[in-house]
Amino acid sequence: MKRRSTPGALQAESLVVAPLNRAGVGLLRNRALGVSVFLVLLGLLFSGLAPNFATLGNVNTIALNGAILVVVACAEAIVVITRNYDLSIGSTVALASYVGLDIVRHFPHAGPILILAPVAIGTICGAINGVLVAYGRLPSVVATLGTMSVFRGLAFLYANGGQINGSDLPPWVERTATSHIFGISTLLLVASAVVVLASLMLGKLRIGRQIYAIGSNPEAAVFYGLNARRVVFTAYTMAGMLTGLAAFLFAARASWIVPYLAQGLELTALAAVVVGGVSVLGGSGTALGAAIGAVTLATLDNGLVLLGASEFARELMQGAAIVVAVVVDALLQRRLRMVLKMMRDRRFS
Amino acid sequence: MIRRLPGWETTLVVLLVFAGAVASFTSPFYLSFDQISYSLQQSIAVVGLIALGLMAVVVIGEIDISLPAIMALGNILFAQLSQAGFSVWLAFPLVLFVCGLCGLLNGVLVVLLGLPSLAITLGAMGVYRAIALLLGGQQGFADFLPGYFWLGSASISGIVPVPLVVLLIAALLFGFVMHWTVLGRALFACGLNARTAFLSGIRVYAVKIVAFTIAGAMSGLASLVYIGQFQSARADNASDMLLFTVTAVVLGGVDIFGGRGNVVGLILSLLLLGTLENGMGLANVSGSVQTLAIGTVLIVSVLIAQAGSWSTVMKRLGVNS
Repeated sequence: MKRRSTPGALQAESLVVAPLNRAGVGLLRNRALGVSVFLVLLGLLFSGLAPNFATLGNVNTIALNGAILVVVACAEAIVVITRNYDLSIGSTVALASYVGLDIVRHFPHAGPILILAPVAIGTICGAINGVLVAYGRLPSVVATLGTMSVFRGLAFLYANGGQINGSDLPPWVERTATSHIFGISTLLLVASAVVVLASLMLGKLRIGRQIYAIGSNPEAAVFYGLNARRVVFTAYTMAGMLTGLAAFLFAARASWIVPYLAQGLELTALAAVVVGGVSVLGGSGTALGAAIGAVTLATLDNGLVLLGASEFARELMQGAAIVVAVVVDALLQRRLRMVLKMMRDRRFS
Repeated sequence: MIRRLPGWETTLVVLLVFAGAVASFTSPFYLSFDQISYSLQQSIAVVGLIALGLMAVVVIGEIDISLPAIMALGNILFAQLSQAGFSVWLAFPLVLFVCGLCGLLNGVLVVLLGLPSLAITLGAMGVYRAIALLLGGQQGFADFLPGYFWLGSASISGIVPVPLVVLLIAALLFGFVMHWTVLGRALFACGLNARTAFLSGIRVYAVKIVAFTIAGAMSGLASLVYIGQFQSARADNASDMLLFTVTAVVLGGVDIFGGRGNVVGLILSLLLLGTLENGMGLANVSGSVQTLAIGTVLIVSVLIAQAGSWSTVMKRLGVNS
């Protein structure tokens, strides 16, 4: 839309635009901060309501429960930033942990190098998603809905009615979940490392910037000369790799592994990502935000359990959290569009 | 996009005959009218009704993954109303209204927020499912007033199951509305190009909301059939129905990006999927393998549909590689 304005109007407009600009862009930049504030408020609320919420033991529980969710949230965030979705995360976790840990069971003397087994299976699953979405040009929802059932079915087929008991596994598996390094749980350290690495990848590496470019405007990214398909494929593969790692952590924490492990995990991961300020339209959001979103969900869940809320009430809260986060996302995006349009109008008038 | 392929419907018919032939070879019990009609109504009546509603949403270029959850909510409402002594004639419009309202809410949110419908209906799915759980708890309801079961379990003169008749009538109605009325053309127009549709005077937002509302109401109808078939209701009913529904719509040749598709294809794909499930069941294939097979069918059918438009998409994007 073209707008002609006199110099006076221009000046008035710039007075309006500048603060709006700052508010809009600032809000978008600091969405992780907004979620953090919400998390702190949530913590204060629960410590007021539930007497045993703010204890060291409970904080530890939240951290351990949240750690795995943080890893899958980072995986989902990478995909969502490219303006795609991954609904197969839960099934990938099931397949990777069952098959991967079965390999571990058969080679008990190979040692922790076999962490690579579930990670490799997760990577293959991610690569399959990537091929279907990027090169097969399937809508990501449909493709990953299909692979969700395929991976889950494969896990059931492979398991053939069996299960892997924790006692059959070499002790280093369980120790991953229970041991401490410098007094901090290994699980937490792994999750933090994933967040740091994912943030560095998204923020500093070329592929990370390309992921943002594809997500914020696919057509422009293609015209700019990016190989959109390769970037989306890489994003899915990296997400699969992280999911494979999460599968190992899942297995380490669970006392037995069954093919129906982690059902519905993809929805929790998506919820964490959206709550953490990653836009469902792609192109914006950070791994740190997704991690904070995951911790927020874990805190919410824990607090509601302590308050004696039923499982259904917790499910309701999770659904509501997604809706609220999506609405906030929409409002912020609209504000940003408005600001950008005003800036454009000012430049061209 | 799929229309460019020679005779998608013909392909489906050929596949259907093939699947039927294979099924009758693998199991001696397959080839009987009673067996086929019974298992078809078990496997496709409920899913078919939801798939018809979903088709209206997919045609406008959106998706609604909360439909099975809306149906579960409908189930619980029927159970509660029946226990409160409402006759089915009162309960049915009421549930239809509530389910339509759920769909309407999805539509309004999608239109107002302008965000991907997947994200919105994902949240809505959690909310509806949780409301059903809050209302119904985790126990199953089995004591219904007798009238509630007719639609899902009766058969006309002992031969034709009523659910299949309901599905047929609904399909005919949908076919008429989608292909011969102004509303139907508006749905397709919005799916092809919302901006053009808007500029040519179609109230795009209203049309989109109507599509979502229809889908919600169809889930309510499916709910009554479900109750008749299974004679029980639980809040976690149909939690794995989404895959089958989306597969039916996509395999039926409805373009997942909107704007193309027809009811005949959808019905053929439902019959094909029903036959596959029936044949696999008779051949003692386990449930997880059946899911695996249906997931594969979903992926392959979208891949084929996409291949038909491969060159056009590449040209449009200006990609040469």
